[in-house]
Amino acid sequence: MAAVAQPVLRLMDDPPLITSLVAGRDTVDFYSFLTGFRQPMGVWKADLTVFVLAPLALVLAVPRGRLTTKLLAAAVLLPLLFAVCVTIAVVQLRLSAEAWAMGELGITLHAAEAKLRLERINVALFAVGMLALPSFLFLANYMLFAWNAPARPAPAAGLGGRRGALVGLAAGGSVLAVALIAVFAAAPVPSRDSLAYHRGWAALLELNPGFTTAQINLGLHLEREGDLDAAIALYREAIAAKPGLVAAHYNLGNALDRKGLSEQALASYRNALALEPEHAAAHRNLAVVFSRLNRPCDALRHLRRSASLDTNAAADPIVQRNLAKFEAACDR
Amino acid sequence: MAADRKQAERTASPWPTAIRFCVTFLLLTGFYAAVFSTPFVDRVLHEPMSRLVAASSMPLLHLFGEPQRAGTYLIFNGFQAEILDACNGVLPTFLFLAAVLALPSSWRAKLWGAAIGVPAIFVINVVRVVSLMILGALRPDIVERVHIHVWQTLVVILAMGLWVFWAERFVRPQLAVRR
Repeated sequence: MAAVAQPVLRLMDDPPLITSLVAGRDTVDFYSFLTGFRQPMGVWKADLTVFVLAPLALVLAVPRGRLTTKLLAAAVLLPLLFAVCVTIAVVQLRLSAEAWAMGELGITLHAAEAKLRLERINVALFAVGMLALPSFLFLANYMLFAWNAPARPAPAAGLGGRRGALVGLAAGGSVLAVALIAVFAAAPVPSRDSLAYHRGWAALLELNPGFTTAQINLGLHLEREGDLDAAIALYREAIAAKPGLVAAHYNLGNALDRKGLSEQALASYRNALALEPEHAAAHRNLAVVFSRLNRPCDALRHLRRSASLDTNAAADPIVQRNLAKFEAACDR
Repeated sequence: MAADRKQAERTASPWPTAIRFCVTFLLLTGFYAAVFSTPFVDRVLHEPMSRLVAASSMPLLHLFGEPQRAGTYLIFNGFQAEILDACNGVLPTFLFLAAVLALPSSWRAKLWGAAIGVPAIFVINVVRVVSLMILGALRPDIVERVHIHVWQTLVVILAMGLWVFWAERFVRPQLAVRR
C-alpha cells in the first residue's frame, strides 16, 4: 500500500509537507518534516482485510451467477477501488497532518475548532473507505453478475431455489468467517510501541538533532521503557528549542510526576496550561498532583475544570468518585 | 413458459439496472460522508446511538459479570472501553439502507428492508460490543486484533448478507410476478 501511495502523495502534495516514508520492521509511516505528523501503516492492514476478504467471501457465498465470471469481475474492479481507497487514505493523512499542525504549531487562531472539524472529516473519510467501498465492490458485482442470473441447483434434496440460496449464503459466510478468525487472529498487529517504530524516531533525531517531534516521541518511548531521566532530558531539549510546545511541557510534567518530583511537575503542568488553558488532561493530572500534595481544594478546582472541558471523561465513575472525595476533603 | 422466463432472465442486460444501482448507492454514500460528520448529526444521532448501544449491552454483560456504564463508557471486569461514532452501528445501517433504496423495488419492499435491517444491524452491533468487552476482560492482548481484523470484516459480511436476503426474499418475487 505504501508503494502505491507514494506516487499519489507526490502528485497531489506540496513537496515540503510530506516528503518521506519511514519504513520500520512492523510499520511504514508517512512522515512529514514540516508538521511532524505520522500515521502508522498498521491500521491500514486492517483496511485490506475488510476491503478484500469481505466482498470476496460474499461473492463466493452467493449461489447465483457464474462463479468464474464474478471472481473475474471482482479481480478487475478490485484494483480500481483499491486506488480509490489509497487516495482517500492519502487525503485523510493530509487532513490529519494539517489538523495536527494547527494544534501543535498554532497556525490559526481557532486551532481547536479547525482541528476538530478536520478530524471529523478525517473520520468520515476513513469510515467511508473502510466500509462503503468493500460493500460497493460486492454490490456492484452482485448486480452485474448475480441479480439477473438463475440460482444454482439446491445443495441438498428438498431445498427450494430461494431457501437454497439462503443456505448457501449462510454456509459460505460461516466458513469464511471462521477462516478469517483463524488466519487473522494469529496475525501480529503492529503497535505504536514497537521497538522498530521508535528506532525510526531515534534515527530521525540523529539526522535532525533539533527535531522536537522526534524528541517528544522518543521521550514517550523511553518513559514507557522506564528511563525517566533520558525522557526528561529530551522533553527539556524540546522546550529549549520551542518554548511554546504544549505537548513537551505536558509530557515533562508526566515524567517528573512519575519520578516523584511533584513540585517540578506542578510547574510543568502550569506552563502547559499557560500556553493552552483548555488542556483537559493537564488540569486532570494537576489535580492528581495536588491531591498527592494534600491540597484538596486545588485538586478539586482543576478536576472540575477538566470535567467541564472533557464531558466524556467526566462521566467516568472514577472521576466522579474523586470529585466527591475532594469536595469532602475541601469542605473540612 | 418457465423455460422462456429463464431464457429471458439469462439474456436480459444487467447494465441499466446495475449502473443505476451503483450510481444511487455512491451518491448516498457521498451524502453520508458530507452530512454525517457534522456537529449537528453528532449531537442528534451519533451520541444518542452510542449511549443506546452502551445501555443495550448492559443486560447481556450482566449475564457474564458485573458491568458498569457511564454515558458511552463501559467497564466490565476491569476492562474499559468507550463506544465511539465508528462503533455505534450508524454507518453499516446507512450503507444497508442505501443499498435498499438503490435497488429498484416497490416502496413496500423498501419498508420491509428497513424494518428488518435496522434492528438486525443494531443487534449485530450490540453482540459485537458485548463480545469485545468479554474478550477484553479475558484476553486484553488480542481484543484490539479481533476488533480490527475480525469484527469489521464480519460487519460488512453480515450487513451485505442481510441485504441479499432482503433482495431475494422481498424484491425478486415481485419481479417474477411482473414477468
